Amino acid sequence: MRNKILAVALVAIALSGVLSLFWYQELVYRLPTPIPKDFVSVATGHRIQLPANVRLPGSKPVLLHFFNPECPCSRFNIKYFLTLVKHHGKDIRFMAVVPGNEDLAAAREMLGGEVPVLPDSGQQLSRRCGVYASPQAVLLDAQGVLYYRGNYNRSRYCNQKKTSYAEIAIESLLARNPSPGFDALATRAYGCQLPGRE
Amino acid sequence: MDTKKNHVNPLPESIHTEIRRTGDRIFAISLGCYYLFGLVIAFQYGTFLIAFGVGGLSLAAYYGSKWLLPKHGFYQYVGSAVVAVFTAQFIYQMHGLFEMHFFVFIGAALLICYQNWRLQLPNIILVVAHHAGFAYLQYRGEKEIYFTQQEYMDLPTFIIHGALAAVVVWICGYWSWMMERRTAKELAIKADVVRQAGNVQRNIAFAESISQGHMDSAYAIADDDDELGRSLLKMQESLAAAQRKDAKDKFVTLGLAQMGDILRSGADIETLSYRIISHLVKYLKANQGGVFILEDQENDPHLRLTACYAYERRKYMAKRINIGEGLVGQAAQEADKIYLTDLPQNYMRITSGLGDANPGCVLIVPLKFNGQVEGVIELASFTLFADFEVELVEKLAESIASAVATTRTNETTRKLLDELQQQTEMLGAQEEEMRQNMEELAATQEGMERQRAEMEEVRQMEIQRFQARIRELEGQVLA
Repeated sequence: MRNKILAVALVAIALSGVLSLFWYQELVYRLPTPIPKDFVSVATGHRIQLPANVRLPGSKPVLLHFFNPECPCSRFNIKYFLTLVKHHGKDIRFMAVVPGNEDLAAAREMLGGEVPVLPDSGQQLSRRCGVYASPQAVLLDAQGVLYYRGNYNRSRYCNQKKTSYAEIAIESLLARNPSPGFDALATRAYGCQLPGRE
Repeated sequence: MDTKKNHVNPLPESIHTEIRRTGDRIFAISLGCYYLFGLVIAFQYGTFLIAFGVGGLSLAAYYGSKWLLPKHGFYQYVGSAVVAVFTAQFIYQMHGLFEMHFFVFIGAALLICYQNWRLQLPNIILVVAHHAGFAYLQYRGEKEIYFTQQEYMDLPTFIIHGALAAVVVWICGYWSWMMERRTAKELAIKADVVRQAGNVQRNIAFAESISQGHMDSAYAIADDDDELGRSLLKMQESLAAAQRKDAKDKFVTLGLAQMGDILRSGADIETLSYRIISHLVKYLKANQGGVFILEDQENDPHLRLTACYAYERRKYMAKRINIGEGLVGQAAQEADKIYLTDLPQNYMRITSGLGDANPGCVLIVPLKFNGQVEGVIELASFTLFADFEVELVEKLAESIASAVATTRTNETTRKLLDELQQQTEMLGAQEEEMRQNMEELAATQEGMERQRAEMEEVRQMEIQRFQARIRELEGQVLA
């Protein structure tokens, strides 16, 4: 009888562990990322004042890829992000933004070294862009005006073409169209909270 | 797949053990492969935490429950759930790669190894619960839920998806059930063969025991199929019965023959009686006995104890029993045997140097010859007499009666002969006396004859002398 209780307890513990892992690694990211208390919304069409240490090429639109090597969600869409880089690298300047200097090496390795990686110590850049989660795409036109800020896709695996919001935004920008209106699924951030923005 | 309809006997424990051992081996290898596969695909998206964490917890749950309850099927059900968890893990690790769903089918096929259709349930229940939960949320309109990679999985697609999975799992469950039945049948046949071989060995040993004359060797019929054993038992019983009959016949024949020798020994009644009773008591392994011979002198018929063996003498101190008196007298009067097994208290005691006790039975048989009772034999024993022993005594009683009658006749004849002889001797003596008298008479007669002759001679001489005198006188006269 004692062994039966122990066996049931063991299975219950293991099941709890498995569920916890799935929860913290996946399920929690299916919910909108909690909005930080000090969040200040930045509307599209707003010109972003970049920090002094961030210099953008003035000739091309820029896509700031808010990336966190520690975040499972960030890792999930690396492949998709690199696909975007490959397709639109000539017209758009892709830049990855990591939470701090300590993430630089890991981010460079994960992104294959093709994309420049900016450290966002103090989260100045993310605040100015209205970003509080990763992965998030911030698309600025050549003048530094916010064209799109939001998720890459409704699906965390970025494989739903209809909801590949970032790509749709890029194509719209390149077509010189005004910023398309996206629903909340695009603009409400899903993913990991950025460090210091809880 | 209702097992109640299954006419195959439940699997014996050893068969379960064999199936379980095979299943465990297959499962151990498979779970090892699952775990390693998780580690390998972790490189794709850096999902090492899940690979180590979920995979490790799954293995811990399976092996832990197996270690805690090794003889219980619980760990197998845990294994089934673990297969489903691994599938979820792989789907997660490969970012929802649809092909990872095939692990549900791999798991279902793998679970066949335990030959227990119920093991399909945890796997399929987890899958169904997962799908149903998310499908419910998605179709309810929860926008945040991303259930599938497909842009939109409509209801028919979902139904086909689920139906195919159900078919695969059902087939796997059906095969498990079929294999379980087949294994049970095969092993039942094997067990039957082994059992029958065991029966044959026991049959051979039993037959050898019988052939060596061990008629009392025991044999337990193993089961309904042990026809040979049953036949051997019948044969043993027949042989034993024949042997017992032979032994009885031999006992009776030998008893009659030995008694015949005794009866032909030609002794007087007392000696003969003693020889008869002492032999009979020993031969029958009785404890005591007596012979009563009918005496019918001077119109006073009674039974006289002519010999006894280990009798309590006081009982028959007088050595005389009247006809109709007591059981012995009753047997003589009715000319029929009396066999008592429930003896009245103090009817008779069998005594020895250490004590005395009531006998278990008493057999009183009249000695009849040509319908005439010649006497009675009484036998007492602690153990009951068998029927054939009673029959032997009855047969012997007739012979003994005949011998007694003969002896009695012989004795009468001998007495008459003695009397005749005595009379003859007396007559001889009288004859001798007469002869002597005759001789004396003859001698007297002879003497008288001689005297008469002498007298005659004298007379003749006198006559002659007279005649001569006469003549002389005549001469003289004449002269």
